[in-house]
Amino acid sequence: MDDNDQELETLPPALVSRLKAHDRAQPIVDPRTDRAVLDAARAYFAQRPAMMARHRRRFAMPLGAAAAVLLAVFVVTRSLGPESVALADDVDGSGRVDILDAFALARAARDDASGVAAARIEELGYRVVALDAPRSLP
Amino acid sequence: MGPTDRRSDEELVAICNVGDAHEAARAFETLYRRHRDFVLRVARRFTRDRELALDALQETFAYLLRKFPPAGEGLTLTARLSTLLYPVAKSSAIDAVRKARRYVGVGDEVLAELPAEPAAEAQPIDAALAALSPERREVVTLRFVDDLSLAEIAIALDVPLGTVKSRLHLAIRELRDDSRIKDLLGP
Repeated sequence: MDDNDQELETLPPALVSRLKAHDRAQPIVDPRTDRAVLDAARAYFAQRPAMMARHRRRFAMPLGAAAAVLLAVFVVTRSLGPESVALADDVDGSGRVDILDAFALARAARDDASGVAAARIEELGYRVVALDAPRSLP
Repeated sequence: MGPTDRRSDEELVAICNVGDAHEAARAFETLYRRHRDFVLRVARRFTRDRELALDALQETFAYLLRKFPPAGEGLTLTARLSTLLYPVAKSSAIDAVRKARRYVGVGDEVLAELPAEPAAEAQPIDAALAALSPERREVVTLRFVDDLSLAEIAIALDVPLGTVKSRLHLAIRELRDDSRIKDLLGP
């Protein structure tokens, strides 16, 4: 298409106005339809806080507990030296024990029906308190 | 509703994605009121019936609602919301007509295009538009009535931009040459 065709890409303004007026001369939406749509939307989104609260409850306790324990491990083991950090505490296998391991352990606790991960959090906590030599769980 | 909500569609969609129940419902209401008339006009073009158009309107916004959590994974706007709403409104309208025809025992014709059935007292504009092919009529309407850009029309119709340009070019030429339009506009 060359430049001369550009003017053909528009319609006379008077025709455009008539096209718009013609199309817009349509029935308007009645309040009943508005209410139906908006009531449906309110009911739909009303599920949201309950869903979000359930997710928060599922994550809060194991995450909070694990994070607190590993933070304590951090403080204690940094004073003892990095060699005292057991490989068993490197939950995510990154080569260091940090807050990411707390999250990994919390996720494991959430998903682990056998309770092994939760027990591991507890064991880690005892070691922090007792300052025992590191040992691995069976 | 209070004063005009100046938030963009992108902001409102984001709130619908992650906001709490109250915020999301308010944001959705703004989106609905902002785009309701456009959706109804589109539905009306395909149904030629007010009640069926209202059904299609509700279906269109029910579709949009389900895009958001909890049922949906959320929506990311990559173009204007109208380019997403148009094909949904069109499809909902065609479905509504199909169901209505089945209900009254009429043959289940596939209506995949803008109907061209001007009434006996059709205005010249109706007749001129009816004379266009459905594809050209659709592009002209989206461009000059709904003010979509050519790129947006391509997205809404899911066709290449070149196809939109070609259809529009030919439609404009036909309308300019139409004696009814010439008479309508005068000398």
